[in-house]
Amino acid sequence: MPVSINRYFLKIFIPVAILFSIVAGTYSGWNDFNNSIDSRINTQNLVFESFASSIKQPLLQGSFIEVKIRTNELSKHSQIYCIEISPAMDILVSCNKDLAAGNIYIVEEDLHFGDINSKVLGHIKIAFDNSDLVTEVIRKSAKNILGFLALATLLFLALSTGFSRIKTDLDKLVVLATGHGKVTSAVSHFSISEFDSIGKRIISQIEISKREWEAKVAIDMANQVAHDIRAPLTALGIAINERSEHSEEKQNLAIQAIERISVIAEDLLVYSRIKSGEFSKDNGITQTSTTPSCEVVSCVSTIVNEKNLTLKRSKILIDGLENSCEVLAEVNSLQRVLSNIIENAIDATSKVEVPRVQVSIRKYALVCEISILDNGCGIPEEIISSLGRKGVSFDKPNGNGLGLYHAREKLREWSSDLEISSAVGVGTIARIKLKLA
Amino acid sequence: MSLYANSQEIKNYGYVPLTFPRDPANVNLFAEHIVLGQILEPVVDTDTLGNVTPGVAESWVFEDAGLTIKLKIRNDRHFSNGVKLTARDVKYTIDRMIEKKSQSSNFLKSVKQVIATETNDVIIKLSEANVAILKALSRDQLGIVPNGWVFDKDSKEPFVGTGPYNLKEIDNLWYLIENEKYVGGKKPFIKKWRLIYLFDQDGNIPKTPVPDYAPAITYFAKNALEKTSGPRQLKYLEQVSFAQTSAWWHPSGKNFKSLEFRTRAMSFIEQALSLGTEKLKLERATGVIPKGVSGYVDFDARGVPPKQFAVKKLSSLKIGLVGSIFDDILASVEFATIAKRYGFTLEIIKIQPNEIKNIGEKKIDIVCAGWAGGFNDPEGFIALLPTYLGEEFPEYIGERLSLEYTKGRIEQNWTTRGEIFKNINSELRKTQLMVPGWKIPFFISGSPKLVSEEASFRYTPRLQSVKEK
Repeated sequence: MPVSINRYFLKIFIPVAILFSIVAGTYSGWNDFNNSIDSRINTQNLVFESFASSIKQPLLQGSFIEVKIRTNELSKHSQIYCIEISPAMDILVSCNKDLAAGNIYIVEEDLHFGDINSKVLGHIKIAFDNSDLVTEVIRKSAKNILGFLALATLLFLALSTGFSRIKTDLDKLVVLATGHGKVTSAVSHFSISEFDSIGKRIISQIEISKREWEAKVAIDMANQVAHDIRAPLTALGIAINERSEHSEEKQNLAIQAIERISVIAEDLLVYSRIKSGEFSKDNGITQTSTTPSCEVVSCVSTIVNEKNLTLKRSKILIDGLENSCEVLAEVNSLQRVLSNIIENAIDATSKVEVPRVQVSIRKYALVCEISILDNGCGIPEEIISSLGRKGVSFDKPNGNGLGLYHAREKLREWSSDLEISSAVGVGTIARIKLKLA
Repeated sequence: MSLYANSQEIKNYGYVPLTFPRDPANVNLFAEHIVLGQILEPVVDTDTLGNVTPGVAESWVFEDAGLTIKLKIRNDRHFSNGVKLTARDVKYTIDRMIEKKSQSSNFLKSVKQVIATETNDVIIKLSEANVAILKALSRDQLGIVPNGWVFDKDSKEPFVGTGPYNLKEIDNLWYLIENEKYVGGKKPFIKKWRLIYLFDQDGNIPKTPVPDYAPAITYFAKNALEKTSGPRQLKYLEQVSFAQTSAWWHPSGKNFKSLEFRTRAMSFIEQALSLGTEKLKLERATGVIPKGVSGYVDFDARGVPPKQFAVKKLSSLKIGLVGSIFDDILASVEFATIAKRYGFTLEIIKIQPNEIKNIGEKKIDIVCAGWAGGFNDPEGFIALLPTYLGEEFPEYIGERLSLEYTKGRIEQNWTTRGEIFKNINSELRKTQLMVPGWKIPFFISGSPKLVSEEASFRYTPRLQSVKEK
């Protein structure tokens, strides 16, 4: 799961810096200690040799006081723990300290009268105290650790400053890329050149996407309008052609058709206002703040009547006209939905010998259901689920898949639903469940 | 493969005093000591740095707060006659040297008793815890001779020792020949040396033969050798030298107790020696203890100018010059003229080395001598003085200084000891009991093909170290 860069920085850098400081500081101190102890021991070996050489003649000549004087002088040095000198059988200078104490380095040797093969003159032992090196290594390690921590802190501060700028630019990029947050002119200005390049690219891509979307919406709208306008135009055409018979009815039909064409034209105007105005959250799809209501029976009746005028072989039946219900839907849009679905039913029964299309209205507790039944060829199970997707139609050579798509979209807007049930060779029922106002 | 040829050729060794060979107890010349050191081994030895090392004693311990030294004598030493060396031989030698009042007896005055034990130890009882006693015992003169041995001047092999060489007379010539019984160190490389003697008692060198190796020759001998060696090229190396000359207010002089006389006489000597050393480009000594030995002090001249003395009439001043070492100084400086300024008429008396014991009979006011000292220690220079003074040193320097001297002899704190002897050194100068002469440079002269241990702090060189390239 992605982690923000700040958290990542804090979670990784600080523990690593602390651990590194401790390890590096301790290692450095330990390394210094080992070098120091080697050097110290070499020096102490030399001190021993030099001292042993210096007391040999006084021992040989019996000048034991001189031996003690020289021993005392050497003993004053802080590194000398104790000295023991034993000529022959006696101990001339003794060491009364505990030689098993820690950090004590002991050097001892026999002194000879002449060369190493000659008789033993005596024995000399010097114990050197190297405990200061231990204290020194602790002190040095602590100093090194603090040094590394200070360095890490400086590095952290330097990186933080850098990261802060990176973070600010990244935030701006996130705003640009996701669209979450207010996009102001400040957002499109970056302090880091690489991010500036990326930001400009994103802005450019957004512009392109915006234009593409606008074009697409325009095309969709045009397609929808072209699709929807066919029915009222057909009705208008019939009304104009058959004006001598049932003139009042046909007059009403023409008026209704003109009203519908007006609505469709109005949609085009609304769209043009959207284009000149601001984007919506849904990539330009207009959202109304409140859903209007309309009466279902009149809505259904209008459409059915309009359709029946165009039908020659059999008429659409209506059932449930007594079930008046006020639903949350915009009347013109509902009429377009109904028109599309009923039109589908009519198309489905075009090859049936005795076509039957029936529209029923039922009122329930929370919803008002309009069902459109036909005895058409039916829709296979595997096709039903994809119906309502844009561009998907069934058994319509010139189908563009917009009718059901528009219907589903609209119904979704009204928190309503469309169910389609079908059996191949039997028929189809489309149920529109509208929320009661 | 050794770089050195194993030479069977006889080499010439110089220079040996005419007095040699003689009983070691009578030896008092440095050049004699050098030869003795090739034949005899002392109870302790010294290394090239002047440090005490085991000799015929392999170890020792100090007991009774330094009043007793117990020396363990080696079991592996045999005299040149094949007899094994024992503790009895050591006792005999030391006792003999003390009884015969040898030059070394001056350094053994604190020896109370020498005991040879059945376990082949020698126990030396001391009257005082003398710090320098072991250095004194390292003297070549104290090389061990067999128990009961006496010097036979007519013998062709007069010495019996455990050293690397024997002394043998062959066809009226003396030779040092490798002692095959010697185990004390490296076998000699040069197996046979012919001894080349000085021309006369004054130390003049003969014209021929030129020594192949001659250590401890003086500056004057070196110059003479350079002239006489002819086309043969010799190499010369200056070696470490503690030898120096000095002049001492002598107790046998009739004016010994006169402070005025002493001041005037010693001031004269100071000026004469100052001029002489400057003329001969010699390094002036500063006191009885030479540079490089503990107790040395850098001291300026203390002479009083002659005009400060209101001299009414000339007095006689008798000066005894031991050996010939002052000859060149005498030749280079108008001693008589300077002496006159100080109100003296000079009487110069030459004292031969074999006359030193009777020096008191000469009734001299001032004795001038050169000596190399006994060993590398303040005691090595001071304790020798009675030989020339005819008087024990503590007596000579007076009660106050003799107390200091006694303290210095037993002081185990070497720094304090050095300060004590520095003080004594300074006092001798301040009181004008002594006037220092000059530092006697010593040289090693030899064939360029010979390599030796060169200048070292061991008092006498070792011929066994000489190799031929």
